[in-house]
Amino acid sequence: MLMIMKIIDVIKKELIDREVLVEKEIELKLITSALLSKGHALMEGVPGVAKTYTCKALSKLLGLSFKRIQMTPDLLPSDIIGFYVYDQRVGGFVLRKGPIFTNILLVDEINRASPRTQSALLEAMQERQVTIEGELFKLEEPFMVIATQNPIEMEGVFPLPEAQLDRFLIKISTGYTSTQGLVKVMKRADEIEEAIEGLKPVVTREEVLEEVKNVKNVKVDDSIYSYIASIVEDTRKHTAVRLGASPRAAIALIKMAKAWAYINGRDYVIPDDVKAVAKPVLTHRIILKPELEIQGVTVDKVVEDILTKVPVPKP
Amino acid sequence: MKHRSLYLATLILFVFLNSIAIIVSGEEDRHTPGFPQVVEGASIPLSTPINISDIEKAISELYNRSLLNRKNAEKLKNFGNLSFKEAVSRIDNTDVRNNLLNLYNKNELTPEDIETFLNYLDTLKVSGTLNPIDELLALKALETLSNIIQSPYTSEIILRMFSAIKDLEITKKSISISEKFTPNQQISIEKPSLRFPSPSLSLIQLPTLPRLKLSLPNIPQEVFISIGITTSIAIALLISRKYLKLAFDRLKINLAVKKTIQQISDTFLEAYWRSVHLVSSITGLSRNNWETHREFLEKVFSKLDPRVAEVFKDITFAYEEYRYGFRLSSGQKILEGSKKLMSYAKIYK
Repeated sequence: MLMIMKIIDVIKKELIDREVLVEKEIELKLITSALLSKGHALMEGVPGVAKTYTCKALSKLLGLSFKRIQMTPDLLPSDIIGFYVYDQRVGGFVLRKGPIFTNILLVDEINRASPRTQSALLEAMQERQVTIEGELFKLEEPFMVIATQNPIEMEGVFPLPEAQLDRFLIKISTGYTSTQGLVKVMKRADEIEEAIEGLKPVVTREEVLEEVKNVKNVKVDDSIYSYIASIVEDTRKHTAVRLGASPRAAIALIKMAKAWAYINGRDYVIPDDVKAVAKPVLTHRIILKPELEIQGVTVDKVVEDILTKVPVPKP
Repeated sequence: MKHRSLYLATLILFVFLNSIAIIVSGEEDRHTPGFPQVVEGASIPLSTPINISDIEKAISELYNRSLLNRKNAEKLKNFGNLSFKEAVSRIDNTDVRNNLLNLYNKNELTPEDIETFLNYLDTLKVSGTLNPIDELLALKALETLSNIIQSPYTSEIILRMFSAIKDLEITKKSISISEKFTPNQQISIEKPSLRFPSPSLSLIQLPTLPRLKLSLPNIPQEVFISIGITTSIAIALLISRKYLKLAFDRLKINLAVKKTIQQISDTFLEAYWRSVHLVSSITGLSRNNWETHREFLEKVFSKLDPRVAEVFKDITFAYEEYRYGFRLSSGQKILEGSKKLMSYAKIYK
């Protein structure tokens, strides 16, 4: 518990208070929660809203390795996972590990990659292992993929199918900063990269893994399980929804609620934790009826609506 | 300052309301032309029905008072029993006589014919070509015709007979007065009314025509009393509003303190929910069932006195630890906080 408080405190001091990352506190907390829940995050946002900086800064502070892949339509699965190549010096095939062998992998514009490459990546995300030339390689823990996608671009992209979207624990919608925030960003534009490069790890990889274990021990009252079940069921009953949340969504919700409780210094989950993570967990798992979508109904509004209807545990 | 203007406004309102009530009660006719009006006594207010014998009595009275000369008296002799032809034969005015005979000879006599003839008589009267004796006789002849066809104008004809008698009386009186006085003397001569004579015959009580009372119904005194009482109560409530609210709040708090929360067997949880109920009573903000304990705290925090708010905050976090964190020690904190909240709420609110 002390360790996570230290991590959160450092994130606040080093990144937020020093204005290395402006207005990114919620995103940082959500990514940390997803990491502690052994999940992956999908960041949706237009280019230039500090998605890469956020991931890089977090991995630096947590003492974790960080790699980035820019997805393109001609990218092959082997470009991500790696391949064997003949080395004349050794007179045999040697393994060239792909960028997936890291702790935090930033996959930029995931929807630009071909479905084949996407599938290979998503499989690795789920199994936390890759197979190269029939040989199995376990990925180092913690392993987290932070994928980004641009919600505007529709041409030359391969949108992720619902089943694959479901594999992301959370979806974070990153928007533009406020005017004041933008002024701060401009003032520190020359220093941001330096500041991120200069960040020193505050915890070790082992300590992060210890915290991952601790999150599992966060207590959850039965009434919280019922509350989550009611929320998930209500997503299926909602009049604006064509496809509601799956049981995997319910599991994701409880995992995230536990991690959220933990990073807020509690070893028990309260209904507020569930509410806090409901949107990031559920929004990419719900499909609206097209006719209502055209009318301006959004998934965010549906989730809000559900949260203002489902009764919280009592007494 | 705010209260002073409030009292002033109330006073003005009170004076205004009372002025309206006084004005309303003072007005006899509040009818606006063109709008429906309340008409009292639309039916003929005759205590005893008048008939032709009353007319005969009036004629004989005129004769006794020497307001009718012998010649005219002869003409009106046996007035009540005159037949149509007898009445017509006694009329001096040839036109009237001819018109009556035409009417008599008409195949199908209708009430409209009677009405037309009455209007014809009015025209003659206004032009001064019809004397009251001829008018009386014409009306008698018309009355016999009206009776034959059972016209609704019979009673009006009899009323017109009275009017004619009145005209006769006034004419005679004015002649006798003008004979007594010198030409230099000023005298106001009452002009004869065409239809509605004022009753001046001593023996005969002429029927009064229905008076149109053009006013709203009288407002009973009880209404004014009720208005007065209501206004006084309203003023008293306005003045004492602040104190009443305080008293009401105290009552609510006391009730909330005494209220037991049903269906909660756990004493500590019951203490929390009682605190929620109390805070709801104080702030007037109820807790929705979808609101978490923290959301409710956030909602009411700014509405409470800082000391009470802090106590409720402690209770909320203790509840959270006890309820979801399974820390039994926090139960005692809820109880203590709840007691503190009850006592604080009574003082600070």
